[in-house]
Amino acid sequence: MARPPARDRDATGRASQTGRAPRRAGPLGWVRLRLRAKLTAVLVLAALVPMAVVATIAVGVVLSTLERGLHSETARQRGVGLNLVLRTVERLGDDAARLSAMGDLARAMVEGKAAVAMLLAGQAAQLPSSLVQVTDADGQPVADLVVGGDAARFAGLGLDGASEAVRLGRRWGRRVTLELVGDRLVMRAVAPVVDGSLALLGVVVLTVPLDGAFADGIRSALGAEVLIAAASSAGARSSFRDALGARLPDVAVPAAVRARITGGAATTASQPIGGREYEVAWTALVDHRGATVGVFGVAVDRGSVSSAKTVAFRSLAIGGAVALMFALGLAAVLSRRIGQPIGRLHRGAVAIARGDLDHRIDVGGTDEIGELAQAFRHMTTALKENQQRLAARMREIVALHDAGRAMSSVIEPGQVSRKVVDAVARTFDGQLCALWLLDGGGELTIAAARARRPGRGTQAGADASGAAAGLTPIAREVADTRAHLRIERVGDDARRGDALRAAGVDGSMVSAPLERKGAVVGVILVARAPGERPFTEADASLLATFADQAATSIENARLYAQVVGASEELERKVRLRTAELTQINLELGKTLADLQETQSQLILSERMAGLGLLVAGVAHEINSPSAAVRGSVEAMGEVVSRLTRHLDALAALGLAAARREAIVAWVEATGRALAAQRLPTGAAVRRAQRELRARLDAAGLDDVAAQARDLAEIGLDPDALSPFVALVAGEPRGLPVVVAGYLAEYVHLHRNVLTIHNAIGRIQRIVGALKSYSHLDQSAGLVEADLHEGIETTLTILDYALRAITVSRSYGTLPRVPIFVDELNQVWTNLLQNAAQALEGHGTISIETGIESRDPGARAGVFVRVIDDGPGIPADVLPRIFQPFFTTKSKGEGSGLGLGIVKRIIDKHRGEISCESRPGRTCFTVWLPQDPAAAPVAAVPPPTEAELSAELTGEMTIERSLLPASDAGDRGGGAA
Amino acid sequence: MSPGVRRLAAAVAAVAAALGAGCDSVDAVLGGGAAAEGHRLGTRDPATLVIGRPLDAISLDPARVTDNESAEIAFQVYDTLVQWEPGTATVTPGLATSWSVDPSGEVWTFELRRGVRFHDGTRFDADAVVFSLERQRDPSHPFHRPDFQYWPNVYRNIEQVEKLDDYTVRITIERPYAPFAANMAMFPVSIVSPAAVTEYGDAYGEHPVGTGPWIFERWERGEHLILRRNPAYWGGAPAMERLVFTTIQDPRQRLVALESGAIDIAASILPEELQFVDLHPGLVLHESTANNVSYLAINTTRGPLRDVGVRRAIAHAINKEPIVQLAFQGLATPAEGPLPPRQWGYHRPRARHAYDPAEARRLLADAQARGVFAPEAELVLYAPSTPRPYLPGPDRVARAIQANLADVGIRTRLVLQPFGDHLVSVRNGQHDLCLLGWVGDNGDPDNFLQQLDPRNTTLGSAVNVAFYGDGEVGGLIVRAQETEDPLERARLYARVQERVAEDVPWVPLAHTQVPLAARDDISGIILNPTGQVLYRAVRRSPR
Repeated sequence: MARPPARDRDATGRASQTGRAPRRAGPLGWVRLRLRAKLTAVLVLAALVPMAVVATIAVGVVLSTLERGLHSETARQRGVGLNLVLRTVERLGDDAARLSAMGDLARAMVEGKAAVAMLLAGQAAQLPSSLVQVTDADGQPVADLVVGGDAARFAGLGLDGASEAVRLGRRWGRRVTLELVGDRLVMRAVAPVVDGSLALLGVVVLTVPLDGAFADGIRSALGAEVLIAAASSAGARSSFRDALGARLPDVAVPAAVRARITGGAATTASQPIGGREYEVAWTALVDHRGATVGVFGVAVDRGSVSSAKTVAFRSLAIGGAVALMFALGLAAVLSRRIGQPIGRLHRGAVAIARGDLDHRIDVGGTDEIGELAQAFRHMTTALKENQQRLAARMREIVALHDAGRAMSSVIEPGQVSRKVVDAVARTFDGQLCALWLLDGGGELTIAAARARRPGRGTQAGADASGAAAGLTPIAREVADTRAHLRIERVGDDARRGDALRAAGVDGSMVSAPLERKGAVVGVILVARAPGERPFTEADASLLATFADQAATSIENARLYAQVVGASEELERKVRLRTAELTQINLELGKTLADLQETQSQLILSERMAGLGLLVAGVAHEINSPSAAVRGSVEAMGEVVSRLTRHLDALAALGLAAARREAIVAWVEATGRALAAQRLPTGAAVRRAQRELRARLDAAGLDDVAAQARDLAEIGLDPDALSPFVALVAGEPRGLPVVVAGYLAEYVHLHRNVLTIHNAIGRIQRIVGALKSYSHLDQSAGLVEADLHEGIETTLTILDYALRAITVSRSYGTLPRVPIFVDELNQVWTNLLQNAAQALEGHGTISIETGIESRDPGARAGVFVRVIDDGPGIPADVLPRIFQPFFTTKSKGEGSGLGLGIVKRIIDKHRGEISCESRPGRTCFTVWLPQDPAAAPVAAVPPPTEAELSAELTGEMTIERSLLPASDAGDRGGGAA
Repeated sequence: MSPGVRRLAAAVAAVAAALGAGCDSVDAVLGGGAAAEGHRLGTRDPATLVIGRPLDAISLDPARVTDNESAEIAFQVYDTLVQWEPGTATVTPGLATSWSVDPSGEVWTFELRRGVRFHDGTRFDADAVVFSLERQRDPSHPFHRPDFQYWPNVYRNIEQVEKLDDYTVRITIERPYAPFAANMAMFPVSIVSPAAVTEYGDAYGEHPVGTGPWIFERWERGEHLILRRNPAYWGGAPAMERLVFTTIQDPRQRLVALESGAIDIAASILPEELQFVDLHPGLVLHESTANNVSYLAINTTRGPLRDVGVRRAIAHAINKEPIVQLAFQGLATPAEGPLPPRQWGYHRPRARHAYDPAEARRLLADAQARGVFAPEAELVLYAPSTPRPYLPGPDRVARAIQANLADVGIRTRLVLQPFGDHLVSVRNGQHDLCLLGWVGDNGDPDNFLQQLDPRNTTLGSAVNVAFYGDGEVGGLIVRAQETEDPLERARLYARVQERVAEDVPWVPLAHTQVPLAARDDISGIILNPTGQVLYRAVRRSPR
C-alpha cells in the first residue's frame, strides 16, 4: 500500500488504513469520523468484554455449583437410602434372632406345630410384614405364615428344608442376606432356635421381597424417589406414582449404569422418568458373598436446576443488552469529547505546515489536548519571530561578505582601514563609524572614520575624524576590557552619555575590539542617530565577528610591511646556525672515538668471560677423574693388605710349589680378564651365585656359600668354574676358600688400577684439547686446518656444559681450510654454548658438515651447521641476533656480544653466517670459503679492529660524511 | 489483530485465569482445613488416612503400656531391632541388619543399620539401643520408671546389654532362649531417641520420637492423634501423608462415620454389625489375625480330673460349634490346640476329641468302673463375668459348657467373677475347670506354650492354670527354647501339640477375630501377628 501523505495520518499518528479515500472529503470530517469510530469501538469493547467474561464465568460458576450441589445431594440421598435399605435388612435379621430366641417359641417347638402356629399368630403384631417360616431341627416345616396380608406379594418366595439357608440355620448359623429369586430381589434372615444349653430346636426364616412396596417404605423415610432392581432384570421397581397416585410401570435401568454397577462402582446419571428429568444416583446391592445381586437408585428432580439455568440465561441476555446500550452511549459521548479538539488541533497543524503561521488554534481547556494547543500557539509565535530574525541576519551576512571581499582586495594598511570603516558604516547603516589602531606605544590613533549627515550622504575625512576623536576614551575602554560595548540609548548611560553626545552621538552605539592572536590591535565603533533602530545584541556580535575579520586584514597589511626588514635578519641568523653545526660535528667525532675505546674493552671482556667459562668447565672435567683416582688409591691400600693376607694364608697351607704357582698363574690370568669386564648387575650376581653354589656343591667342595659369593661378585662365569675346581679339589680342605678370596681381591686390585688408568687418560685428553683449542703452540695466522678437529676440541672442552645434551655428528669429508684456528674455535664455542643455553640443558644438538659452493662466482667452500631442537628464536628477534649487544639471555647470562663477534670472525674469514629458526629447530650455518683470497673483495685486506668498531656503531643515524676518516666500503664485506 | 486488541485479549485471559485459580484455591483452602480437622464430611484430603478406634492410646512411651491402642501407635512411630515380615510371624531385619547368637545360645550380637536418624534428627546407633533397653532393665537408670510393665514379664532373662562399637550391640541372656529374637520384635523394646527421653522426662509419653515410618505430630487425648509421614524412612516412605487416629467409642457411631467417609478404617466392628458391613457395597471387612486362644482349662491336680479318661470325656462332651456360632457370634473358628492355625509351628493333632456325647458317657462309665469318677461329685467351673478379646460372651459359653457336661452326667457349679478376681482365683488353683485365654505377644509358639509349661505352675502366679506337669512336654518346651533352627523347633512343637492333645489338660475352644472395616478404596492394610495394623503400605486407590 502506498504510504499516505502526512495529512492522511490521524491524530494518534497511526497510518491510515484507507489512504485511497478521496482527499477532498475534507481532512476534518474524515479524521473525526475515523477517530470517533475507533474510540467508540475500543470503549465499547473495553466495557463489554470484561463484563461478558465476568458474566460468563459467573453464570458458569453458578450453574456448575448448582449442578454439583444437585449431584452431591443425590449422592448423599443415595448414601442415606442405601443405609436405610441395609438397616432394614439388618432389622429383619434382628427380628429373626429375636423370634428365634423367644423362650416361648422354644417351648412351642417342643409342644408341636399347632403351638407354634398359635404363637406366631399372636406375635404377628411384633413381626415385620414378611413371610415367616419355621422348621424343626431336621428342617421339616413347622409353620409358614404371611405377616401383614397380601399373600400374593410373597408368593413363590418360600424355602424348603433342603435350602442352603435352612441348612446354615441347622448348623446354628445366623445370616441376613439379599438374594435373587427368579428376577425378584428378596432379603432373607435365618436364625437357629435353641434352648438354654444351645441345643438346636429349629430354624426361623424371614423373607421380604424388595419390591415397590419396599421402595415406598424407603421413600417415606428418605423423602426422595427410590428405585430397586434385581441384577437379572432390566426394569426397576420404584416408588414413582403418576398424578393419580397409581404406581408407574418398571423404570428401565440404563445399560451404561448396569455396566458400571456390575463393575462395583457407584454412579450418577440423568434420566427421564414419567415425563420429568431426574438425577438418579445408583449403587449396587450385594449378597453376603459380595456378589452384585441388584441395583438401588435414588432419584432427585432436576426441575430446580433447569429453571435456575433458564433464569440465569435470561438475566444474562437482558443484562448484556442493557450493558451494550450503556456502553454505546458512553462511548459516543466520550469519543465526541476527545475527537473534537483533536480535529481542531489537526486542522491547525495542517495550516502551520502549509506556512500559515497566523492560523489560530481555538482549543481551550486544561487537559492534555488544551496544553497541546497552547504549545502549538507558542510554537507558531516562536516560528514567526525566528523567521524575522533569520531574514535580518541574512542581510547582515551578505553585507559582511562584501566587506571582507573589499578588505582583502587591498594590502596597504591605510587603505584597509578605510575599507573597513566603509564596510561597517554601510552594513550597520551607522551615523558615525570610526576605526582606531593601536600603535607601537600602545596609543589608540584614528585610522579611518566616516560620518553621515541626514540627507547629505556620507562624509569621510577630517570632519568625521574630528567627531571620532571625542570618542577615543570610549575606544580606550573597549580596548582595555577586550569586550564589545553596546549602548542602546545614549541618554540612559550617565557615565558615557556626555562624551558621546559631545561627539554627536545621541542615538545608540556599539563598539568592538579588533583582536589578533590574543592581542588587541584596534577598536571599531559605529553609532546611530536617535531616530534609527537601536543596536541589538545580535548587531554587537556581528560587529565582533566583523572586527575579527578586519583585524586579520589589518594585521596582514602590517606584516607585509615587516617582511622586507625581516629578510635581512634571517640571513644573519643562518650564518650563526652554520657555525654551531660545525662545532657539534667536532664533538661528535670525539664521542665516536670514546665509543671505539669502550668497544674494544667490551670485546676483550667478552673473550675473558668465555675463557672463564672454559676454565670452569675444564676444572670440572679434571676434577672428577682426579676424585676417581683418589678414591681408587685409597681403596687400593685396603685391597693390597687383604691380598697379602690371602697370599699368606695360601703360603701357610703348605702346597707343593708347582701347584701353588699353577694357582697363582690361574688367578692372575683370570683376575686380569675379570677386571677388564664390566661389573655384573645385582640380579646377575644372584643368579651366578646360585649356579656356582650348585656346581661347587656338585664338585664336593666345603664351605661353598662363601666361595660362591666371592666368585659371583667378581663376575666369574659359572661355565668358567672347572679350572678352579680342578685346581683346588682335594686336600687341603681350606684351599678353595683361600683361592676364591685371593682371586676376588686380585680382581678388586686390578679394577682400581684400571680406574686410575682411565682417569689419568681423561685428564690428559682434556689438557691436550685445551692446548689445541687455544693454539698456544701455533702462530696466530691463517693456517690450513681440519675443521672437525676444532669442533671436536671445542666439544671436549664444553663436555661439562653439554653433559645432558645428546650431540649427534653428521660429518662430511672436508678439505683442509685456511682459518684462524683459535678464533674459529671461539665461533664453535659460541654457537654450541648458544645452542646449549637454548636447550636449557636438555635436548639434541646436531652438527653437520659438508662441501658447498656459493655465489657469487661459485666459490668452493665448506659449511658447518649447528642445529638444536630448542624452542627457537622468535621471528621478530631473528633479524637482530648478529647485532652486537643484542641478547635474549636474561641479565647476567651474557653480554650480548657473542653472536656479534661470531659474525665478525666469520667475516674476517670472508665467510658467511646465517640463521634460520622455528620452534624445534634452530640452525646456524657457517660457510667458509676454501680460498679466502678469491673472494670478490679480495683487494681489501681483512678488517681491522677499527673497522669492526665502525660496523658496531652502524646503528647510529649520524651521516657517515660527518664521521672522521673512514671507508664506507667495509660494509660490502659484511653484507652477505 | 491490533496490538491493543491482543493486549485486551491477554488481560481477559488473565482475569479468567485468576477467577479460575480463585475457585481452585478456595477449594484447596477448604479441603486443607477439613483435612486438618479430619472430621469434616466430604472433601477430605485424600492423602490423609483417618482411623476410628474405640479407645485412645494411654501413653506413647512403648515401655509403659500394654494396651493394644498404644501398641499400635508404637508400631507406627518406632522401629524395633527386628520385625515381622509383613503378614507373617517370620522375624526379619529391622534396625538390626543382621544378628547372630554364639554357640552357648546366650550371647546375641546385633549389627545395626547405618545412616538411620531419629525424627528429632539425632543419630540412631548402639547408644540408643543400649539406652532403650537399659532404662527398662536397670532400676538405677535415671529414666527407669516402676511402671514399665512388659519388661519384668517378657525380658527378665536379659542380663546385660553392651555396646561393642557404634553399630554393634551385644545382649546376654541368662540361658539359651530361641524365641528371644521374636521378643525383640515386640513394641516394648522399640528404640527410642535418648535425646528426646532426656528432654521430656516423664512427659516423653506425649512426645514420642522414634525412627519409624510415621512421625508424631499432635495428640489431643480422647480426641485424635495425628502422625505424619517420615519421608526419609529407611524402609521406604509411607504412601499416605498423614494418619489421624480418632477415638469414637460407640461402635455404631464408628460405623456411621465409616459409611459417610469421615473415617477410612473402623477398628473393632461389633459382631451384630458384620451383616451390615458385609452387605454394604462400599465397605470391606478385613479379618484380623486370630492371634489368641480361649480354652477350658482342666485342673489336672484335682480329684477325678487327674484321670486322662475323665478329661477326654469332658472334651468329647463339649459341642464347640454352637458356642462359636452363638456365643462368639460367628467371629471365631473352633480351636483344636493351643496354637492358632496361622501361628508358625501350628500342628493339627491326630487326637481331636470331636463332639461325641456317647463316647463321653462311655469314658465316664469306664472311669466310674475304675473308681476315679463319681457322678454325684460336683466340679467347680470358674469363668470371668467380663468379656475378654478371646472370649466375648464368657457367661454364655460357661452355661453352654455346663449344659454340655450335664448332658453326659457331669455336675458343675459355676463361679462368675470379674476378670481380675477370676485371674487371682485360677492362678491359685481354686478351680476344677476354668475358662481362660491368651493373646499372643510376639508371634512365637513359645509364647502360647508357656501356659502348658510345668515350670509355670507356682500357685499365685501360675500361668499354667491346668497345673499340667507333664515332664515330656516340659522337656520339649525347654529344648525348643534352646534350639535355633526353626524347622527343628517346629518339629519339637508338633510333638508338644500331639502330646497335649492326648493328655487333654485343656479343651481348646476357639480363636477369635476382631475384624476391622475399611472403605473399599483403601488397600495395603498389613496386620502384624500380634494384631496391630501397620499403615506403612496403606494407600487410597482413586475410583
